Amino acid sequence: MTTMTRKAKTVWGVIIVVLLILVAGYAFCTHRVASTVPGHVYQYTSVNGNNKLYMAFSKDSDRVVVTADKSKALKANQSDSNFESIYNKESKNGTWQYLAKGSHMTLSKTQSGQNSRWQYNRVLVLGNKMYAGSFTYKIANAGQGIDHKNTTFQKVE
Amino acid sequence: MNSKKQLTALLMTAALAGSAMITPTVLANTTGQSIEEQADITNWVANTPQQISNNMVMQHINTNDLNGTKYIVQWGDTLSGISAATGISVAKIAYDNHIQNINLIYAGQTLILNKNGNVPQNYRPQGDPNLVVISKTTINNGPKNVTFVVSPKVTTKNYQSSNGDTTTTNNSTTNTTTDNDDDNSSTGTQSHSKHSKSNNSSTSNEDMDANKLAKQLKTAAGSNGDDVSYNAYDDNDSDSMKSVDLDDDTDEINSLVQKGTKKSIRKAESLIKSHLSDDDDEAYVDYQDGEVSVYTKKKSDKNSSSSDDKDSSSQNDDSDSDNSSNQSQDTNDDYDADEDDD
Repeated sequence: MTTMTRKAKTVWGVIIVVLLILVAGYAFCTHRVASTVPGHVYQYTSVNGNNKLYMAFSKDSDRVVVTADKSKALKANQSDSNFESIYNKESKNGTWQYLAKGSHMTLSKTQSGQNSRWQYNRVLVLGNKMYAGSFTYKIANAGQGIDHKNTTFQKVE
Repeated sequence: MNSKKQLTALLMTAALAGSAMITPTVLANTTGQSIEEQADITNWVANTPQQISNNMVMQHINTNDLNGTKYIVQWGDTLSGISAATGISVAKIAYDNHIQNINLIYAGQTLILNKNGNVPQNYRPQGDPNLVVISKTTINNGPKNVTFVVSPKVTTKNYQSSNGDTTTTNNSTTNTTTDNDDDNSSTGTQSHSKHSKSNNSSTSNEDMDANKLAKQLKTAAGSNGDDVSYNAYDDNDSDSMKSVDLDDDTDEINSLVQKGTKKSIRKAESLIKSHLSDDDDEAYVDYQDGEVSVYTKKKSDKNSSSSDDKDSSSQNDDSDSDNSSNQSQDTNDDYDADEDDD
């Protein structure tokens, strides 16, 4: 059995350290969603890239304004009273709630007593963007499944 | 050699023609979107009237001249949004298009828009004009079970009533597993009828339903030495039932039942028992959508056990006064109903 040279040991050490940093970095970035989204507005881009919508996440509750109107989302994020007002106005189109935990974020819509949910999986936070590797959905009157398409959330300020 | 080339060319042509024939059937579900695109959240957020107007412009529709004009409904459209974009009342649109239930408008459906004419005074379409249009086909790309690792506490608000009561309807589930009973066929998803319990209930433990759970809990109660009789919950008796609040044990009970082993059922039974009153010797269990709901008979019904005072109060009224799990079940019942009906 040949003994490892000092150089080889150093190379392996560096490789292991780099791998550890990468793994730790990935783990860190995939567990930031819970601390990143509250109090911010994100622009969501659909799987086909053609549609966008805006989400204003409450910083101190599980409520989120989900709207196709960017100005409404931004206004909701300006103050608590604005958020309250817009959330209530928009509630005729369904009440939205969210929960982010670990590498998942679920958005829930309740309207006419029926609930639909979209859970974004493997959410990676990098700077102002969040990338979800897939999403799990259960939509009232429509169906359920898992969509393995990437989706993007971009912070809007 | 020449014939080899000809054969290759023929095979390639056949392959190309085959794929060209297959692709449109996959995409031809509704308004040309794939299953993945249909499930995208953007399709389930209401379009603004401005967006609807833009869609109409794309379809070369002049909103100032609507006289039997045809509009192809787009994802995210709502009838109230179409009404706001065109100035035609929701009732008029529904009347002109013979729509009784305005919840049943599909993406890809053609609507006749007509500013002229009146609506009979007694014409009252049913449904919520603020609901986004639905899919004509079931949106399912294969998996029968979906698991939600995290989920917010769902709060429903009664917008129909003037007081706007808010009720928290289920807890923060860490494991809600559901089962789509449909066969992924292109059947309508429009039925809103209350679901009937079937043996193929929506659970992760595929065979589990209220009846089976009741049996297992009954056996487990015998093993645990608890003198509680478990029965399957029946929607028809909802007026005489009250929901048992399982508090923080909800998730644990759900996951124990989902496990479905003798040991886990015994543990679930003892947890359920701990939430029953000492004088509760009968409990009724329901199992839908991976969630266990427990009910006991109301005291008055227990004493009289008569059905003569089946009042006119609705199930919703009942659930409002009860705790959250009952309401949650209602929500899921409605939800599963539509899927079952698929």
